[in-house]
Amino acid sequence: MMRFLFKNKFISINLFILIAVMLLCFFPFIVTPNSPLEQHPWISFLGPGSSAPPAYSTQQIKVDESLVIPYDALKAKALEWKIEKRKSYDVRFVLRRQKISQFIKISGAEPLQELNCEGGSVVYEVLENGTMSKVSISGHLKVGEKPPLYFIEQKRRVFVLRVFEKEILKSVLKASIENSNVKTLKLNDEKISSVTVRAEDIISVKIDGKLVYQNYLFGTDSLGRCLLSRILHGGRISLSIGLAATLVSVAIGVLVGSIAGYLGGKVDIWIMGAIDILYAIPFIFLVILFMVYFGNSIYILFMALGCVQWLTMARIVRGHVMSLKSMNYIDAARLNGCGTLKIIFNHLIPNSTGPIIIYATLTVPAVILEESFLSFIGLGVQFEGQSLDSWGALVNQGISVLGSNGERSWVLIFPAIIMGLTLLCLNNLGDGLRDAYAFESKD
Amino acid sequence: MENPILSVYDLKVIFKKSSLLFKTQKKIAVNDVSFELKYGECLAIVGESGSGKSTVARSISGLQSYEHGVITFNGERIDGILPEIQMIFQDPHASLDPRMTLLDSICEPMAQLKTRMDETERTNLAEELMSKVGLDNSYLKRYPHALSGGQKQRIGIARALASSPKVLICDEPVSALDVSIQAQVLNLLKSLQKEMDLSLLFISHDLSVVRFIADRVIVMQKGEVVEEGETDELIQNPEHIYTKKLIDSVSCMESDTFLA
Amino acid sequence: MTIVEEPILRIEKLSINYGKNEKKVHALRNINLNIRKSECLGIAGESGCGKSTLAMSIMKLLPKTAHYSEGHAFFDNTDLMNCTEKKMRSIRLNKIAMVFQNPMSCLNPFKRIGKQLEEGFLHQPQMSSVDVKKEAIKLLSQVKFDEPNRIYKSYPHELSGGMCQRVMIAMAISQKPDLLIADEPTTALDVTTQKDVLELLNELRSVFKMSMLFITHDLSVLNKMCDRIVVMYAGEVVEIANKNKFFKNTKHPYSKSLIEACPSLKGPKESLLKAIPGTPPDLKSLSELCSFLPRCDKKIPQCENRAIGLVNKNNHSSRCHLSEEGI
Repeated sequence: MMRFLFKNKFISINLFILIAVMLLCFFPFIVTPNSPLEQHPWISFLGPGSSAPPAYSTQQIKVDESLVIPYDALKAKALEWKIEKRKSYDVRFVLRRQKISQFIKISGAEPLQELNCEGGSVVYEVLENGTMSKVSISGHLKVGEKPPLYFIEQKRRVFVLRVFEKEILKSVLKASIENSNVKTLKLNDEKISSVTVRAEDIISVKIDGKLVYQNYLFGTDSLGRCLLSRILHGGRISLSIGLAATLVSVAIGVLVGSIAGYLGGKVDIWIMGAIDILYAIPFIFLVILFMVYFGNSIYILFMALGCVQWLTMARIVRGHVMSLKSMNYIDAARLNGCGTLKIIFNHLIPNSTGPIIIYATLTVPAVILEESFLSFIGLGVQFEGQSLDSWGALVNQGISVLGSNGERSWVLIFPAIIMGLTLLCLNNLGDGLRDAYAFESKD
Repeated sequence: MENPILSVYDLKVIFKKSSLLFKTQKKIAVNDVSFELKYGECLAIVGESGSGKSTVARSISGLQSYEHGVITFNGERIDGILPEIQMIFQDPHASLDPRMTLLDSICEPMAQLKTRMDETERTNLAEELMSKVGLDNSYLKRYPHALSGGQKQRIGIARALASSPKVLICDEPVSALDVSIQAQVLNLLKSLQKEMDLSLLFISHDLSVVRFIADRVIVMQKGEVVEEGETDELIQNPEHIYTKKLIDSVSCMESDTFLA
Repeated sequence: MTIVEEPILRIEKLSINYGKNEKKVHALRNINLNIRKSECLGIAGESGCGKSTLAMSIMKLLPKTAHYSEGHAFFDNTDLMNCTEKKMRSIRLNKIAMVFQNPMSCLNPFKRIGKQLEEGFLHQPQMSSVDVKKEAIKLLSQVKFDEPNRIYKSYPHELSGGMCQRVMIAMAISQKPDLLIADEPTTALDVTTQKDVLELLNELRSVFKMSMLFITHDLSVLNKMCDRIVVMYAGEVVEIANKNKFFKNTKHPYSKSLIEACPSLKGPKESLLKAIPGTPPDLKSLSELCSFLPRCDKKIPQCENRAIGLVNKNNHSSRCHLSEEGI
């Protein structure tokens, strides 16, 4: 069977792609050192193929204290940051009766009469959760005037704006390190004892004189997490769910199918009747019932999906066992005193491994697709509290950030392509195995 | 006059085909068949396809349930599978589990018997059986697909002998084999019968084979016994028309030149 | 039966291999045969000797893995080994027809018998469907069916094995071929049905004056049916002779052993059959020496060193050093 598989180029290519994907999902460090969990909100929605200097969102660097850099550079001796800061200040304004009633600069609680937003300054609105969204304001905003329409449409009355001034302050921060401790710190060649650096200000980082970047092959998502890394770690979850649920379904299906096939008669009729009835029930219904009744953990999800998928396996095994039943070696086994269970486990099931493997290979993509669907509609589970998301959840997130003109499309496209490719390869592999088995039994 | 080792009284086997919509269809495969197998003899059951001879064999061995009838072994009524009655089958390629080594196949009956034999004892017995059927011990580690039809049939015989049976039912064991291999297997069966004190129940459709190996013959047609008697007597002087027809079909092909 | 001397099928040096390179299986080696007009040539041999391969190769029905490495099969002024598929298709059924071993698997279970018989007439568009139906029913009565109309309307699963084989024979003779190849036609049948089918074949042969190539492993059937007998072993012809000469004066040790290994019904009763020890040789290795050598009990010193070809004496050929020596 294997020889047939490898002779067929199409199947070999599929198998190769599949193995590559599985390898990457379980050993993602081969392609990317980035972590799927680390958030970098300042580099959210970077396009594919972009790179950014490694940083923490705010980092305080003090002399004689240890320094942690986003990735392992323990042996580094000299670090250099190029920083471009724009002066900014936060302003709060309150609306009363659709007119601005007051402007207050947050640092120092200084009241202002007007806001000067011209000459290249950029204004962001700072939302409650800390994220910033750009607002377009030009000209001056005066107290007692109507603000732009956007603010009136909001239900709120208090807004916080961050105004970045035109001026850019460029500076270079150098640090020399010994044993992970900062020895000297220099800002623009002036010795300082401590400094706070914000990630969005860092332009580039040099370690031991070499420019270092974090590469985001597939770009980043809404929270700045590396998409490739998320896809690979998510793949690990999807594939594990696929395999685990398939194992459950194989175990149940083989047992039920072989008993129905071998015993025949009334037992067979009742079991097949039950299977036919179960076929009619939509799987989502069953899975939701399971999750509601037994709780929301990932192990329950395995069981639930497995319990839905065993039906086809049972049918296949039953058919195969019925054809094996008439073989003389089964008669010989009965004459030798083997009981029903011994015959099923020692003779019937080992001789059914061909169809079992084929349909197990075809069950894996079905389970992955079902689980993705559940995640997509929001019924997925988290793996022990981590926010690793399976492919379905990634696709879900991709759709929610998709702009009306196809902006930020890569957040949807890449997980969708990888998932589609894996499922396609699995299905092709199953088909190929089925052809190989038919070819072999014909011989 | 010794008591027969195996006797069958009024055996009746009906095949039912039940379906939901139509009436259950019944087919009488074996209709009131009675005969006796004496100790140490070879009794042949001859008939064409559909005569019920295989069904009789399977009922005696316990693989087929029957409507009606009494089967006794050594005077005691039996109902089901008995290790003293073993069977070898027609299709050599289907009689061995392709996933088990030959050693495992032969040792299977030993594992089921209550006798506690350990690994070495079993292997020794298997090797002994292999030499009895004329095969080399090196075959034990191999799988069935490496063997030819005749060799598989011998392994089937070795397996049947592993539980030390008293009665060996042979269900058309040589029909699927070539003439030269057929001769080897038939010679083997004949010598094993003498050596191991077996009583053979030989099912076949081939009268010439039956003449070679059997002491007595039963002719079956459409589920019933039509004639019974000593082999030579039956072939020389058949009484029933069906028997006459059978003998005629075979012997017309053998002319004087063939038997020179 | 008068036999005319000129052969309608002449096979010369036919060799067929399966597979490539080291895994080459030499299924047929240097076969030389003639079939004369109105003659029945019987081919006997056990499984693996190549007789079915020979039949299929004449009809060019072998799978793609088979290579016709050399040889010719001259039929009706055409070399079958070197002709186009189109020409071959016009020859099949019209000139050379074949009957196979298992009739149940050769009939389409979804089509009625009548329709399957009429398939042979597809290449004659000038015949109207009424005529074709009449022909089909006539064929069915020629193969001794009592109710040809009922059989015409039946499906294959409604017929027994013997009846299906008779339908197959009807299909084969529908275009009145010159040569009928029968590949173990009665092996799967009961012995009483076998007798009927063989008698039918004999009758048809004399009515249609067809030649027949009859393949079987059962020597007693050959005795009844054939004029000449060919014995094959390990892909080679080992003996060719007239039927009477073959049984009275068998030359090749293998043929002798084959006859002796058959248990007989009327002859003297044996206590032990004369079996042939050993197994047939591996067809992967070619050897110039006699292929029966390891199993032969009549060897002479020449057998171990000299190559052997077919030795013809008085129209009785044998591939054996013994006949060469005149023993």
